[in-house]
Amino acid sequence: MITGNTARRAFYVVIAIISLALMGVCANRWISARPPETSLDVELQTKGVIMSAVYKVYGKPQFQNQWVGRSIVRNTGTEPVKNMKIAYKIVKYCDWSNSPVSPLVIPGQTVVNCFYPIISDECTQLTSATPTKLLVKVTYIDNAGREQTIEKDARIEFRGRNEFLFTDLDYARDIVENFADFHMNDPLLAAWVTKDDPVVEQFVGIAQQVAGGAAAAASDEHALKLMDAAWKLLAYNGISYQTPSAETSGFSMIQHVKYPRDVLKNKSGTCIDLAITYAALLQSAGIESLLVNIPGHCFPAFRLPSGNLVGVEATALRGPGSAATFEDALKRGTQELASLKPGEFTIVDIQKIREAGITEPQLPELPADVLKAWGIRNPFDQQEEKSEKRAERSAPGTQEEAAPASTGGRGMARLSHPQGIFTLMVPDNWQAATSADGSMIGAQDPAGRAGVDVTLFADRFYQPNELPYVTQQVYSNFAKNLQSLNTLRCVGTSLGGNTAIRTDVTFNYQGKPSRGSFIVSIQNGKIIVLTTRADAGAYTAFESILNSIIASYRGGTP
Amino acid sequence: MKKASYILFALLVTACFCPVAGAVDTSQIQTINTREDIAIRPNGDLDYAATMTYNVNEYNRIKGQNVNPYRLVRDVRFMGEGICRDTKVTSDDAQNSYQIKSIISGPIKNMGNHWDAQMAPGYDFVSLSGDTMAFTCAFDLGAGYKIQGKAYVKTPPGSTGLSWDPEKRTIRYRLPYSGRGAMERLYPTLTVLFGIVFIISALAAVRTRPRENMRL
Repeated sequence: MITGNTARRAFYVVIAIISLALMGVCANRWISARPPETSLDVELQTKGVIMSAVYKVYGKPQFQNQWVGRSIVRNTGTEPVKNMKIAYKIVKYCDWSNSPVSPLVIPGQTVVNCFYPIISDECTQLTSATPTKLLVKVTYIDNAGREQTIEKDARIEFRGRNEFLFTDLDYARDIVENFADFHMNDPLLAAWVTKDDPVVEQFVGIAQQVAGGAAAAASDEHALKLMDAAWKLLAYNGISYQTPSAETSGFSMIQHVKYPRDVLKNKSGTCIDLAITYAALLQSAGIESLLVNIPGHCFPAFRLPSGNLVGVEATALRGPGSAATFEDALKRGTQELASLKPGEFTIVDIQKIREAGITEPQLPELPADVLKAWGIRNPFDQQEEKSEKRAERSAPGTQEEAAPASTGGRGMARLSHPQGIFTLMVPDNWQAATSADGSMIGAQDPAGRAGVDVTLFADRFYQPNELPYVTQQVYSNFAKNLQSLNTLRCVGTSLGGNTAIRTDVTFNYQGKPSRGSFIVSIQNGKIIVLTTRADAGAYTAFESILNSIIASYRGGTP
Repeated sequence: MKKASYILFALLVTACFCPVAGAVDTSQIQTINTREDIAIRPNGDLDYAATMTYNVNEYNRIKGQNVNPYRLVRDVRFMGEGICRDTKVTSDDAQNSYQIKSIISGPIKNMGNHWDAQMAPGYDFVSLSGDTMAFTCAFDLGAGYKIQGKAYVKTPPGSTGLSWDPEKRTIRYRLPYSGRGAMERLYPTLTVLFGIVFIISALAAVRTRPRENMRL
């Protein structure tokens, strides 16, 4: 018989056993639970190689894949961290970057942060591979309210300004299986097409003279005439093809690629060098240029005003007397273009890629007469000299003179300041005018749809380092008419050997929407503003003329 | 510098499976249909699944080129503020499609009192239903390719205030961080509590022992 006492005892025993078991479970969980801790795991990734030539591209976040460094920060602790900041530095080439803030990083969360550095243009001085360090500093507030810092670094290497890395892929760990893989970085070749390099612009100016001032964008005929003239000028100056050399860096191929100025200086280039040079010359003249890469070769192609594509085999330049005719090179290039094999080519559309933001590097400034120093000859030099002698014999003042004989089409005439402060070439049928005090000189086409004006400010002596300020003042004077500034072109450049800032603009001229360029320069303490303009609708037709005017501009000493 | 990071990357994915630009007759536009399903985890990671369906000729052509599907894994390595892991790529000959699954970390930003997810250009908001947002997308890839499809983004369980900011093209939701689990904080207390219950019940059991036993 079970008594009440025994039943109570059994109940208490059961309760004791259950509570003992639960206490054990809770104690076990308590002991095995991780103590509160704050812990961040920081991984710094780099691509290893930076191409100096495209240093501007790395600073543009729209090129998402072109990061220089990437931090992967994982909260591996049990507590959240607050106000996490990530800052980067590239020793010598980029100071500490602004730090983005993550207000809260919870346990288990991963933050991925890319570094798109504004790199100093000092790197364009590099001619060979130069190692440096990428530093990252992660700061955060831990659970106890203390600021903590984690620092990491990694080795990176700047390649010389001429070195082009074909692909970011690494043969050792990546699948590199076809032509596109190997040519992953081809769009970056657009940075080598330095159409705004004053050296290129000067050379194009000469080519324009040879072509008789052909407005390249006006028609296929005019474009081909200018292409022919540029070809003849290159051949005349002995530019010729040379066999390429390449090296491997780790498991990727690097090639030394010359800028057009290097080709003009050395008078030789590989297929890719010559393609880039020829493309830069014609892009500068307003003809849309492309680079076509096929296995083991590169050649330039051009979109004519009608929209037709033609190719040019630039390696047909074989030195004085040995170069193929332009017609032959055109025929060969166009045949190559027609026989592209699917999957075995890439096309670099220079204009589109530049519009997307891949721009040319800031190359060292060169003297105004550097083309002469390099032995680049103008077949019309003798006639130009005769023109200048005639100019000297005539009375001072604004003059229009006979243009050098051209291969056909429109001739060019010299427009000079009365005191010889500048000269430039304008089409000989343009009407020139000058203000009474000589501070403003202009010329425009008979229909008034395009023109050039040069304004001289000589009210005081201006220092060269005042240029940005002066430029701002000039723009603010014109501000009511300005509609937009193309800041991509708003860079320091050399014009006639003087420091200058060129900006492409759209603006209203006498109530009409117009396009053109402002070039502001300081020469011998005087400000000279050169303005080219054309009606918005007629701009394409006049673009090459305006470019040739700019290319022919020469500042002088009174 | 503030940079957009996108949670969808159909463009990248599709680009991996397109031939080199210009390799096809551009007069015949090839349309690739996509469906993307994205589930956001409480820690901001994404469970990403995409299906890309080609027309039969194009699918056979791509298969014929023996494109290695794991090129995707390679190319994603260079993607901006997003890293992928556990990526799987499969193909379905019956449906002329490729499937991609991956876990992506990084694109969702924890802003402290809410989370932000920015959508890539080309995605248009369609509707919001419960914890899921629907989008349509259309990209012209050039070289004769375009993609069009649908994308569904599902926020984590317990999230609130799901909204779409059309100007910033951002999905926003709230999921306050609750810290360590409530049970985890209670274990010490429960241990002590059960210990007290054990002692009391043990003492009670001893006091209620039968007399005969006590005589022994």
